[in-house]
Amino acid sequence: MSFLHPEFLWLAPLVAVPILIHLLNRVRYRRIRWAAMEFLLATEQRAVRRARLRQILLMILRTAVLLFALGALAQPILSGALASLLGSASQVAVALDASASMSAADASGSAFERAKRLAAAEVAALPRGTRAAAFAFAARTDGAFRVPIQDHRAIASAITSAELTGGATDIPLAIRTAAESLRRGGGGGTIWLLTDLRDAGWHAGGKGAWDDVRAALQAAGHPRIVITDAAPAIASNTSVAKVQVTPDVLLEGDVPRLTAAISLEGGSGTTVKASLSFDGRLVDTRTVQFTGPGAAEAVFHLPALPSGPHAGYVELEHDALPADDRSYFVLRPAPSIPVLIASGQVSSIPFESSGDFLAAALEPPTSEDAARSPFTVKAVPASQLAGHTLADFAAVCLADVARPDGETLKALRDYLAAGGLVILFPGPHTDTAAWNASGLVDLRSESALQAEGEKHVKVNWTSPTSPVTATLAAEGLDRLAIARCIRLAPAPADEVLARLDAGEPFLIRSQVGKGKIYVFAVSCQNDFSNLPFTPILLITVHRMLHTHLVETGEPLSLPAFTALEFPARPGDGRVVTPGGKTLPVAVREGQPGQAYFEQTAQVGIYRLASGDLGADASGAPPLAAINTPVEESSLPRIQPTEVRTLLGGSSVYFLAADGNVGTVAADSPASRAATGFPLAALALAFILGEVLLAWSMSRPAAGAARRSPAATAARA
Amino acid sequence: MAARPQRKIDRRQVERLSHLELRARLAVEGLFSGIHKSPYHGFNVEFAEYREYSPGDDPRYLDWRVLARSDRFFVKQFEAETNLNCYLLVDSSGSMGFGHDDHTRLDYGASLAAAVALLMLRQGDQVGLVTFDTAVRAFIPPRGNARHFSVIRDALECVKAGGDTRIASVLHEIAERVRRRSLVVLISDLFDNAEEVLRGLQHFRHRRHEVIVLHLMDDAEITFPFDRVTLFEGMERGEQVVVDPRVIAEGYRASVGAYLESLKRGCAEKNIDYQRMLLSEPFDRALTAYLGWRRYRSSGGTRR
Repeated sequence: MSFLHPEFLWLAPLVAVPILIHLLNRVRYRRIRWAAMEFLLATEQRAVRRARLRQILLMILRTAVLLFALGALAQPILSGALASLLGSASQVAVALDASASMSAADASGSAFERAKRLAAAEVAALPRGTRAAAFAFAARTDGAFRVPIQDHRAIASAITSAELTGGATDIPLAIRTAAESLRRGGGGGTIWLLTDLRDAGWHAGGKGAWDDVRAALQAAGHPRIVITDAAPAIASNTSVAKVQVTPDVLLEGDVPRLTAAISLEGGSGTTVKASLSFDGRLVDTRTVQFTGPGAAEAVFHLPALPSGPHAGYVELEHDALPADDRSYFVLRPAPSIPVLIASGQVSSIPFESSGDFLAAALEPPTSEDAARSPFTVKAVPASQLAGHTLADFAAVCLADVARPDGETLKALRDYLAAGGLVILFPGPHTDTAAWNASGLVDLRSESALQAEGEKHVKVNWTSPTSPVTATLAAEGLDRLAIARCIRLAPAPADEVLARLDAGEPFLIRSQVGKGKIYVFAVSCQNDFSNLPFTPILLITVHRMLHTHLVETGEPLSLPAFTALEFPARPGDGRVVTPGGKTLPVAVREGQPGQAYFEQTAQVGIYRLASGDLGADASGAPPLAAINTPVEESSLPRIQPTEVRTLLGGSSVYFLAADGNVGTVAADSPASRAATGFPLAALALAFILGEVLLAWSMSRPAAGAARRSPAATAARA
Repeated sequence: MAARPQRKIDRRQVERLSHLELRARLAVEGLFSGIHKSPYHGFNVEFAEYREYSPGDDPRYLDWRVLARSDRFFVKQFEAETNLNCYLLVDSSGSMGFGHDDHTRLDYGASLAAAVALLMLRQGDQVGLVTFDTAVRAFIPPRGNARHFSVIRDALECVKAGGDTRIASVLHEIAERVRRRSLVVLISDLFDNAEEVLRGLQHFRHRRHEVIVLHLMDDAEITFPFDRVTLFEGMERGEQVVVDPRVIAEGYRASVGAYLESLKRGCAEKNIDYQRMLLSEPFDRALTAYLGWRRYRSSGGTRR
């Protein structure tokens, strides 16, 4: 038998106190020489026998009171309590926590495996009339038996086949799902939640999530909630909290630096060995020293990267919670960043065309600079824009495009909807009315600066947070000579990145779908301003591209249960999971351009194995790294009082079916309800019994008087 | 070898009671003239009653005046007043050693017996003393001289509590030994079988003795005021028993109450004076109260 509060067991010797009192009372008595022994003996013979019996009963009662009071404090985990709680219900919904934190293990195995064994055994042992449903959950729920059925063997089998995921815990989701199962089964019953009571899982989904849970519980007829804490005690945990690679836009040939953030929670100082494996081989090992709980970094240098996808992981020596000891990442250095420049006016004379300055800014004409440029520029007349696949380009720059035709406009909209970047430079040929009609931008007439000739103005970079313009003022890049400009009319949702002295917007950014449009108030020719001759053009355009690539680039890793999305093309595809399973990807209904794969429950590297879905320009299959969410590394556990608050009016029982399942949360009011309360009630009953006994002892021993020889003599 | 004195009887306290009077309620046989009624009629001075003449009566006692007036033969009956033989039966069994603060029941009984002896001697009666437990331990025949008190007092001072109690058999033995009708004063705790004790007392009554029972009890023996587990050790046989007084108190009180009631009722039925005396009450006060009540009853009153 195990106890919720074994620290109270040191009070166990107190149980012997009534026995000692009983024995001492037998030894420590007053001695009196007595003359009227005849009467004493006559009365004593039966009364004393009865008194001895009463004394023994009193001793037993007192011992029992102490024993049960001790039990109420220490709260033994009753092996039959779980079965009775489950078996007394008409239906049971079993919610098995399959989140990463359930991988926590001690010598007897992982919490998940123990919880599975327990759940399968208890479900198999349910009374015949009890229906059961079961599902595993983490950030999502997974299980075929959402409606309670009577086939306990099938349910137990489903529980046994459940797999541990690398996902985060979402307790509100689990309880809501279980309540929905019971509601479908007619309401009432018991929700049996097997989890590790990690605090983070109970706060998933925010406060609104619990309103939904309470509503679901109410709809299900307020089922009883039994929570089994399956977690072993973990004193400390080291985890790879995050992996970062610099530079954040990787190109072929880069030698990136990888920084792994390693954290230690709980415990005292320790030394952790971190190793980096990349493309299937061990690259390097670092030793990280902790003087106490906190964070530290391990820095690795990757080899020069060829283009194409690469995968690796940083791994720590395994501890009691192994799920967070390895962090996968995927790198996809590109050969270069393709940019499409569409010029409204094309000329054979260098720098006469409206896009020439822009092309020169992105891809310097000299061979040495060109070699260093990350961009591959393709300049085309605006009329040919629709003939190109815009999705192949990281950005599309429109220079003095008079008006977008229908095809161009559609291509631009699709491109922006998919997350593209458009940089728009109006010019003297720009038909503002036509652009306004496109709905993409809102341009007005040219400004009054036209009549006043070229004027040196100060550009006020107004967005202190934009990575594009935030540092320009500090860098002294805030002077322009402007002869003409287009008056911009930003929408409320647009961000004005720069204004001229007069307050006229100079550079705005609009969000269109997932994409972005930057609009300058001047052209990228010298007919409007000297912008092409200043570093401002080059720096801002570079930063626009960089920021956009960082924002829309592939992440190093994704948390489990994140859907992997691919641009869909005709054909099918298969994804190979870290476990080696090959699973099909799906195409979203009504969105033929989007394919997705949702079953990223396990951590590791996912590969697109077949078909041409999502194949990138290099032809290499895409990869995705799935990792355990950082919150699963957190050790704090929720307090039962908070659980009761969250669950509102439902009856909550914290139980462990046997000593092998782990300890139930300390200070559990529900535990007291399950074990402590009955024990306290028993103690109360015994106290009452003792009062009754004392009362009965205070009553006259009339029988003894009737039976005394003296009384017999008196009658005679 | 003379017995060592066990107690000192306070003569001054005893003498304070010597002015009291203990008259026999019933007729007793005395050799000398005294204050007690004699069963022998005819010669004395105090007229008792008329009785119709029957053949064989001494014609000297015919009342000629009544004969002359009523022509009927009546004989005059006279009561003789005589002195009294008093036997003080003092129980010296082990249970008489019960008491508090070195003042035992036997001390109380000895003082009481001494007081009775002195007042009897002072009123011209003869007093004897018998001490007993399972048998008669000392027998001092009745005497009426002044020095006899010293003999009795010395005997009382030397008597020692011990041994078992067999009151009934002792009473039978003494009753056989005392032939002349006497006043028998039994001073005892009477911790014996009530039925047999009463039978022993009945033996005295059968022989026309007047019997006074002075029953010495301690308050604790009646109220049983103990409240925690106690080992009670018998004073006669040495038996031991550990009891929780709270458990048996009521039964004990009921048992003692029934026993006392049976004694009282049995004595009343046998025309025996029964007086219970509590050791908490000074013996002089108790004796004074008893004799006062006795006189009041002899004069026709009843007990309150």
